[in-house]
Amino acid sequence: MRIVIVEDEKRAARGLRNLLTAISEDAEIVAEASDGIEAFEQIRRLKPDVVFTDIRMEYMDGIALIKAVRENGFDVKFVIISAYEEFEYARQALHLGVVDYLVKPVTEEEVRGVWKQLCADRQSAGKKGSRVHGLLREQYPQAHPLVQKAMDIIESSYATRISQKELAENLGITAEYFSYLFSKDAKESFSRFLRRYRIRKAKELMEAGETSAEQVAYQTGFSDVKYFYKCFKEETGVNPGEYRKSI
Amino acid sequence: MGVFKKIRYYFSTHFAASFALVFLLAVVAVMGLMQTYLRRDYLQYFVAQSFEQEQAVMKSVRQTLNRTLYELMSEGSKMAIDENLRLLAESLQEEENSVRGQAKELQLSNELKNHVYGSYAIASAIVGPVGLLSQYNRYKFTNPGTLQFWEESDAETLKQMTAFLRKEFIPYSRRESTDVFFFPRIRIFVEPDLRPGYSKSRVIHFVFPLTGGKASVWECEYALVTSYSMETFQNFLDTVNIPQGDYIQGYITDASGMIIYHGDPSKIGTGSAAVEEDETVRVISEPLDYFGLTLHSMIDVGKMRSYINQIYWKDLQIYFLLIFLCVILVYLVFRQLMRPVRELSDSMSQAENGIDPEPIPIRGRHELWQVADEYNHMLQALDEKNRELELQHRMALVSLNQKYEAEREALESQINAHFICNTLGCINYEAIEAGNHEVSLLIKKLSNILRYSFDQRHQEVLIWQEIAWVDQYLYLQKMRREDVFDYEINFPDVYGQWPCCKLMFQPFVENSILHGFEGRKSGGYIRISADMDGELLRIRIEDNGCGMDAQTEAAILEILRNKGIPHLTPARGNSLAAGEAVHASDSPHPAPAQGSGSRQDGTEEIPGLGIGIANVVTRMRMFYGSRFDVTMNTQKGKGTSFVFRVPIPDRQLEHGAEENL
Repeated sequence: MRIVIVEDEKRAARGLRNLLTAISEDAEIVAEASDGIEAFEQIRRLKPDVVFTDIRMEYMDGIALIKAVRENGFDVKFVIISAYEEFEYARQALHLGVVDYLVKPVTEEEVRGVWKQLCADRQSAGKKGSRVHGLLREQYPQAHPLVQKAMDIIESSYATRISQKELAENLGITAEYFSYLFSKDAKESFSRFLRRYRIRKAKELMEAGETSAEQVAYQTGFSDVKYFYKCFKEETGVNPGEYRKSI
Repeated sequence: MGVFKKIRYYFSTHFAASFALVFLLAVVAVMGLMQTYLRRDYLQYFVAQSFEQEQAVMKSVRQTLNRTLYELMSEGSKMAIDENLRLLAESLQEEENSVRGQAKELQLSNELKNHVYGSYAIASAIVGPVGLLSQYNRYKFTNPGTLQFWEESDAETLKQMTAFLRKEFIPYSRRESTDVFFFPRIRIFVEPDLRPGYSKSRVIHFVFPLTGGKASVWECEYALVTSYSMETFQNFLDTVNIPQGDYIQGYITDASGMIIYHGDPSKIGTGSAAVEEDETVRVISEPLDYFGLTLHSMIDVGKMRSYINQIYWKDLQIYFLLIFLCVILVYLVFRQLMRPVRELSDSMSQAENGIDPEPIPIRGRHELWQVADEYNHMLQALDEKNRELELQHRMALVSLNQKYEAEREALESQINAHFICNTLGCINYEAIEAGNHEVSLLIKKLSNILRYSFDQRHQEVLIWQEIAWVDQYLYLQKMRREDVFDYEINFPDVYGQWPCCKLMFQPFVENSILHGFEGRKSGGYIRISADMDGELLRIRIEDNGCGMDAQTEAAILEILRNKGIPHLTPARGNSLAAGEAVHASDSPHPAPAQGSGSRQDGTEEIPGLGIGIANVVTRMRMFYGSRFDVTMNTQKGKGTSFVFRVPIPDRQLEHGAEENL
């Protein structure tokens, strides 16, 4: 595995290099950079598999570096090793699809874990398994596992009646805590999220050629057509009929 | 003008005054109308009533007077027909100026005296053709010094009075009136009305022809003059006149219409027309049977009106006085009633001016006092609210102070933090390269603890972060103390996202280690566990340490129970700057305020321990709100446990509306 280490402290860079090479013979450190711009140049030139990068650096920080690499379409995995345990950085990093976010100082155990993950990713990259569910979950990668679980349930059974209370009970937590968790991670309440999802599905159904509004309503979990109309209008600004015509 | 304005202001601001004024005006208006109406009606009624009554009185008075006159006439007649008198008079005329004459005169006087005493007359006299023959005065002897009734100077008057006897001799053939024929001819005279010897009352004279038996009326030469006091008529006037008001006047006129008797002596002798000239006057006349006398009763409507007006005004004054008193009473009652309003207003203006208003003393039970009572309750509630706010404010202030302090310290430690963390990073690689992964782990944990503690920007964290921190903290503490204690954290991952207040467990855990396990060589145990209690997350921190003595326990319980903070000054050992707490525990004599050095002196150890706990509890209360709850249970020798029941803070809770679809 070809690796680039981006780290402004020489001792830390050397430490990481030694650690990686100690963990696996497969680890090949192709370059070391002390700032973002230098790193970008080397990534462009060397096309490594993995980049271990710090976040706070001169000229171009770690996040900007990842963005720039992604924009250029290089297929490079990133592991962040930062002295900062910042939620904002972590969020952006996860959004940019980094493999892991390690906090300095790193232990051998942590780096081993990351290494395993990298190897596994490389293996699974060839297979490309098909996934039935988990589309919603992917939109909220850093959501709480329970929330992601709830999203799976929404995805699979939006056409039936879903009660927040029962859902919370099934997940083994109180409705209050579930409500708090869900709205924290999804940035909107559970019921509103569910309704929006149902309307999205309704739109998909109509785009697929379903003409009966009643059918659409029932297939998306609305027990009342009138209520479906009302929700549809509120979400999209137009009636289902108007929407169908516009397709 | 100033006074007028003041009065206007007073009226516009005092309900009672305006009410009293309106009440006064209304009552006065009604009274005025009523009185005017009543006065007019009453006057009409009064006039009619008086008129009728007067007519009835006049009739009865006429009868009485007729009888009286008749009696007087018959008395006189009795004298006039006394033969003895006539003979004595005749003989006296003849033997004038002789001794016999003197005897006769005495005799005649005696005769007269006998008659006078038997009658109502006050004097009697016999007048012959040449003049006064004899006279007798009732008071001559009873009242010595009294002058003669008739004086020498009266000779002419007497002559005129008796002249009619001779002058008016009417031959029988020409006599027309029959009544005169059968009755002795009698005349009355009211002049002279006042006699010097009898000046007190007016007199009336009856003149009779002294016929004395057989002598014919027409041939008699002597006349008898009897005089009566006019007091006789006074009775009539007393009956007719009404003393108060003077609006009814009785009087008597003779045949010629001349007033011969009147209550007002100045009117006597004038014509009756003069009296009746006023238009408002109404006269009732009743003719008497004798001498052409007529009784009159004059009712003066004008005087009557003024009399009634006089009464009316007198009454009105009393009315006004009464109304005024009533109004004052009403005003006072109202003032009393409005008292709570005044008190309320005073109290409110006090409050406006920033003075803490005293509760209003309740002195009654009516609605306004009830309002005042409500107001008192409100004041009390406000006061409590204020106190609460003040407390909150104080807490916020303390929190701010702490934050400020923390920020200051954070700035100070920023460089150190980076320096230390990065240095630790280097040492870490050295350790790894030396193959000492145990050191690497310790460095990692220490670094994490330091970073978490140094990071002042994030005070509100998730509970898994806090648990992770405690875990590492306990790991390092355990490492240092080797066998002294072990720990266990039993926290369900599902609740990891629970909102949490940073470093909230540190003082409790530190208390267990520094205080609970003090002097212990091994066997200490700290357990942190969590479960759900209804809607609340229940977190337990338990140790099996030595527990607390009663004094410390009481102090800590007081801190937990009390929502306030014992010390406002952010003391050192502030748990926010947890780095400091860590440093403190790193010192050879850990946390002097809390450690063994002050064990003997309980009072000194409480503040140090207390401030750490008090600060955290205050922060937790502010963060979680009123539903937050912490309890402590300690037993000497057995251990101490803290139980927190933490809600999701209200402001973070978004209730998704349950929709059954």
